[in-house]
Amino acid sequence: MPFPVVQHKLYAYAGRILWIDLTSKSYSTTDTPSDLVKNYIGARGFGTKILWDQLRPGTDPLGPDNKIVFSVGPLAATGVQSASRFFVTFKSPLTGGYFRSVGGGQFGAEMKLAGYDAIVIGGRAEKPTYLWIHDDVVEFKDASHVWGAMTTHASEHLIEETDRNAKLVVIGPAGERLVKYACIQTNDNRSAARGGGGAVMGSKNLKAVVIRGSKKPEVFDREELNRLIKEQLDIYMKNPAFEGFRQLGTNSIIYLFYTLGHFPTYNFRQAELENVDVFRPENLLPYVVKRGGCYACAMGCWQFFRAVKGPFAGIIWDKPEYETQCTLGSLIGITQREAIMYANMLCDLYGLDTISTGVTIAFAYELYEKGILTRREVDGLDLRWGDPEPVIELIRKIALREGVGNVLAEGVKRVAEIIGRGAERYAMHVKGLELAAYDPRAAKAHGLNFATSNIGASHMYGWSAPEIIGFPEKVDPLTAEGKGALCKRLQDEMAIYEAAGICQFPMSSGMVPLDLLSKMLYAATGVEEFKKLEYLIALGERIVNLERAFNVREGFSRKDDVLPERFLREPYPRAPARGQVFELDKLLDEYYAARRWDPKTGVPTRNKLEELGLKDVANELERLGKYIR
Amino acid sequence: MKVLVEFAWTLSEKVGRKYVWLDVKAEELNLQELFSRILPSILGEDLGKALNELFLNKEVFVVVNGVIAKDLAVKVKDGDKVFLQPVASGG
Repeated sequence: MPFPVVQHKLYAYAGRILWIDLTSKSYSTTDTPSDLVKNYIGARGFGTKILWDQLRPGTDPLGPDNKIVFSVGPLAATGVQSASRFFVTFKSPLTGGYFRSVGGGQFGAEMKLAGYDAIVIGGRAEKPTYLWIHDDVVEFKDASHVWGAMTTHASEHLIEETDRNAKLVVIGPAGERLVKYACIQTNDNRSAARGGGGAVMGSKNLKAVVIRGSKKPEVFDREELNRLIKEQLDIYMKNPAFEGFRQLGTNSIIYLFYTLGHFPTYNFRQAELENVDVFRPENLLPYVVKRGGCYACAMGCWQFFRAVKGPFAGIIWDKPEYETQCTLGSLIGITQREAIMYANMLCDLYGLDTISTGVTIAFAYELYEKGILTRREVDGLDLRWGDPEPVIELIRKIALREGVGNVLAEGVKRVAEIIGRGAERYAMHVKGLELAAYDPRAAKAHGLNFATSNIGASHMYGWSAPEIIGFPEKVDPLTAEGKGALCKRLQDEMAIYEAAGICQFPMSSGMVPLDLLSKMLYAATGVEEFKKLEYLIALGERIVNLERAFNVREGFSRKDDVLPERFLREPYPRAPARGQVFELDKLLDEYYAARRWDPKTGVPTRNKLEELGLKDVANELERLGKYIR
Repeated sequence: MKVLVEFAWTLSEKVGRKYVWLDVKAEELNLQELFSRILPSILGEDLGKALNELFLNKEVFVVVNGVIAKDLAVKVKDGDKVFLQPVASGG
């Protein structure tokens, strides 16, 4: 039985972890342990610790022994703003390492209301199954009738046959077919998109988790928490970025980021884009026909776009985010906004991560241009830069694993291995995860985050606001000096906020200062330790170190903290980063020194792990021979 | 010297245009002069003053040749491009 410890009353937490074995169709609950709370807060912290404890090294990501952990933070469903995100932790079929994916909407809050801080799912169902969890009741339901259905269609059926007010996470045909970057969708159109969580669910024959709750978390000091929530809302309203998020979400920064040297083009080969004006915020605003937001979030950064002209007219769909406008747009040379909207919608329906899908397709376009892939090998499609028609067809082929789609479904790293012929030079990934929409040469700490992140090239692991938007302090994005320490700090901070279940958007714009978060955590939970900022900072560092240890246990080392060759050798072609390359070795040395990890191997030292209270982790790494004498 | 000043999003609506070319008789000028003297003379006193206040209140990004300006002492010279947009974030 996991976590056999003496329990104290937990405020704000649901107080229970649900353990599900799909193979035997059985489940149990345990109390949420106090030491887990104190050392990891919740959400990402819980997911990391549970995965470390539950998985043996070498576990097949698509086998029954892999676990998929859904977890939320203590502030979920308490009224704290932007605090009800759900985290999905698993061993990734794309990277072979630790992964955490994050989703918004209502599902996280509903988990808490149903009475669970985490749901840990293992095994493999004999046939397509969905879980119907309503408060204390867990039902294993036949999903044969929705197997093969797109995410929206399946959602509609499952909500209809359970509870109209239930919330759910679901996979589409891509997840069922084990597309390595299949995502997990919610019924309010949000995604826990990255890393292939959809494939992990698919491998378990798990179509969906439907949940409905009626419990309300009891907080330690309701009056004080309400006062702090008012303070938080006041900060939101006064923050200059607040209105931008409400009006246009991440689409407000596309043209700006392009100006700053991001929003890459043509499979990261170029930085210029003809007709980039179409992405100016004032040119995107007319597409908005509806707005919305996640549970208890005043920011409400969802916008729905309507396409009214051209071959893709007729849709109203959640807008393509900044990342998607790049990966399904500029990376393929496409500036037809309606085409990007359509491609984005298809990815949501099939259950595909738009970032990995777009980068994989851009990779195919470049291979085709270079003659590495022939027209016959891409099923007769003519992959010409800027033409969206093949993109639409490729999305379908990938999701259904048809023809060339069956290869592209593996993600760029594996595709390059399959094709050979020098294809790996154009595969834009780190640790197997396709790159997000930034150029590492134009922001060095951000590039270093891509290289060292324990989940691969994710912008969400340590977003470098000081370099990218000059907040809270402006840092020269092009210098290498000091970036190791900056990258470490940003990654650790992100881990704290994500352990609390807070959304990155308000956090990175200064709308949830760390001292406010600390006060809210204390008012909600009554855990004394959460009052101390230095305690929280160490806690964030503990999570990142445990994630690193997980990967070390799987065989990762310094050799995996790399960037695609393109960024190391080819100078950035335009202002403001003209002539820049990414100084990988120098930056890595500085980063490992800041982390006090072994500079030769990138492995956390025993001293560092013990300092963070992870002696048992150090012992395990020692036992596995990960420390070189 | 000639400098291109671009206005994005709500700023372009307020200013009534997306960009303006400045033709200034000087070798270089700093952002302080641009906001307090040059832009008001072209866009009108009130609008120039409003832009200046937005910048001082950190409510607007001022990007000079692709680099976010950290203060009003940043120099602008012939051929430079200044981009103004209300503060936004995400990604």
